[in-house]
Amino acid sequence: MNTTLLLSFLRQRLSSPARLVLLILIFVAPLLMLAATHGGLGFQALGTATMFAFVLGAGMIGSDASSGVFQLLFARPVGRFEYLMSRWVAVAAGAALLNAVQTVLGASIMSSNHALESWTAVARFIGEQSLETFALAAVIAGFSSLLPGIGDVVALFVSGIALGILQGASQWAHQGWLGAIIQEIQHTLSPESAGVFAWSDGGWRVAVTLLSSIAIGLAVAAVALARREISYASE
Amino acid sequence: MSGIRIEGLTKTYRAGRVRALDGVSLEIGAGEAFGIIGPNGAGKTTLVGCLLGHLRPDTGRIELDGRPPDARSVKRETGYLPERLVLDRWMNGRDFLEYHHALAGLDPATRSNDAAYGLERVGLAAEAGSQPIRRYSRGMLQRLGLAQALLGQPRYLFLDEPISGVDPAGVILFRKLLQEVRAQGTTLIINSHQLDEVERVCDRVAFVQGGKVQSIETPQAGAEVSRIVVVRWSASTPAQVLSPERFESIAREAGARFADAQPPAARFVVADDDGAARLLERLVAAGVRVTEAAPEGGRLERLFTTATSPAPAPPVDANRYAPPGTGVAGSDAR
Repeated sequence: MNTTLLLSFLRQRLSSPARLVLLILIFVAPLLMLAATHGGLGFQALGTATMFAFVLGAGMIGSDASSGVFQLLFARPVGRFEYLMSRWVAVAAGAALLNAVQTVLGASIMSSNHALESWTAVARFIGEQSLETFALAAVIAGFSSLLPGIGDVVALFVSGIALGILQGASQWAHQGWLGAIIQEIQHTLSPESAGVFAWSDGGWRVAVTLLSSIAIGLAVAAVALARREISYASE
Repeated sequence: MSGIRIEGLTKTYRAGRVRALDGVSLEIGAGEAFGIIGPNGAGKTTLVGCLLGHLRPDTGRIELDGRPPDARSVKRETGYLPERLVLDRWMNGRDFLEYHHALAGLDPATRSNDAAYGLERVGLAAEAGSQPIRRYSRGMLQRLGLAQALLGQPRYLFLDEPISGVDPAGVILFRKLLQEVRAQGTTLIINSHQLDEVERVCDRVAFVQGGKVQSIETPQAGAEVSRIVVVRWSASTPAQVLSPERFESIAREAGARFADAQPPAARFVVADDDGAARLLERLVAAGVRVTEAAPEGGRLERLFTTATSPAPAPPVDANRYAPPGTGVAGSDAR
C-alpha cells in the first residue's frame, strides 16, 4: 500500500463539492432523525457505511483509467496492485471512519435519551459496518477496474435490479436452485454484515460471504489492472 | 550494453489486425538524444508506450541498461511528459510536483525545495504554483508537465510532443532545459512532429512509418544539406539564362554546385554564407533576376516530405526552363 496514493485519493474525493455535500447529508441527516425521535430509531438510522462507501468509491479506478491519469502515474515506480490496495483501503477506511464517528455521535444521542442498549452494542455495530465497507469497497473496485468513469456504481445498481427480477422469476417458476444461486450472487455484490459476530449463531456464514466479496472483488480488479495496457495511441 | 536496446519489437492491436510496430530494432546509447519522427499512425507513440512499459509487445525485447522497462529500478530513473497531458486538476502546481516527488520515491527532506525549484526552472512563478491546475493555460500545463518529468534528474527522459501548445519564450526555455539535461548525461527520447526542434536537439533521429524504422538520420552530420540555397527568379528573366548548363557554369565560378531546378526556382549547394553570397552575385551578374534566396528546410523536413509523399516528384522537364513560346530548351537538370 502506498500512503501517498491513499491520502491524495481521499483529498481528491473531498475536493469535489458535490461529493462533499452528499457526504455531509449522509452524515448529518441520520443524526437529526435520531435527535428528532429521541433516539427511538436506534442503530437502524446509522447503517450508512455502504452509502459512504458508494460516495467515496464511485469511479475509484475507472475515473483514473478514463481520464488518462494512468499514463503519468504508472510511469512512476508504482505497482498496479499497490495502487489497487491503496484505493480499496482509502474507500473502505474512509467510509468506516465516517460511519464510526457518526455512530458514536448517534449513540450519544441515544444514551442521552436513555435509548442505548449498551456501548458494547455500539462497538459491535461499528465493527459490522466496517467489515461491510471493506467488502463493498472491494466489489466497487472490481466493477471500477472494468468500467470507465463511474460505471461501477451504475453497474452495481443495474445488477442489483436485474438480480431482484431474476429472484422473483425463480420464485414464480418454483426454481429453488436458481433462487439459491441468485441469492449467493446478491450477497456477494451487496455484502451484509449483520450478525457476523454471533459466531455460534451462523455468524461464520456471514464472515465467509464478506470474505468472498473481498476476495472476488479484489481478484477481479487485480487481474483487470494487471492486464490493462495504458494506451493513448491513435492506432 | 549501456543505454536502451530494442530487439525485434512487434506490437499489434485489435487481435492482430492492426500492426503498430513491425520488428523494430534500435540501440540508443546512454546519454544520447534520440528523436522519433513519422506520420500520424506510424507507431511512434506505441514505441514510446512499450519503452515505458505501458504496453506489452507481442514479440521482441526491450532493455534499459539491461533491465526490463517495467522494472521499479527503471521507473525510479524515468521522467515522462506525455502528449496528452492529463494532470490531477484538483491539485495546485506545487502540490502536483510534491505528489510526483513522493511517487518517484525521492528524498522527502528535499521535497518542498525540489518542488519550488521545479516551478522556477520551467518559468512558473510562485503564485502559479499555488493556483489550482484547472486554471492553468495549455502552455502552463506543459511547463508543469516538464517540471514533473525533470524531478530527481532522471536517467531516461521520454518527451512526447514536448513543445505542443508552448509559447515562443517557452520553446526557448524548453530548449535550454533540454541542453542542461543532456549535459547531465540523461538519455533523451523525443517523439515529436516539430522537426526543426528534433533536428536541433537530437543526435540521431529514427524515421518510423508503417510500424518500421525506415531510416536513422544524424542531423548534425547533415552539413551539406543545411547549406542548400533555394533561389527563385522573376518571370522577366531572359530565357537563355535559365538552362541547367548555365546554372552549372555559374555555380562552378562561384565555388558552389548546381543541384536541380524546378522553375521558377533552383537549388544550389554552397559551402558557407560567403559561398552563398558569391553565388547570388554571379547569378545576378549573369542576368538572373533573383527575387528570393533562402536556405532550404532541414534534413528531417526533406526526409519527412520525401518519405510521406504519396508518389515521387516528377522529373524536371527540361523544356520547362524556357518560358512558353520561346522555343529554348535545356538538358536534364538532374
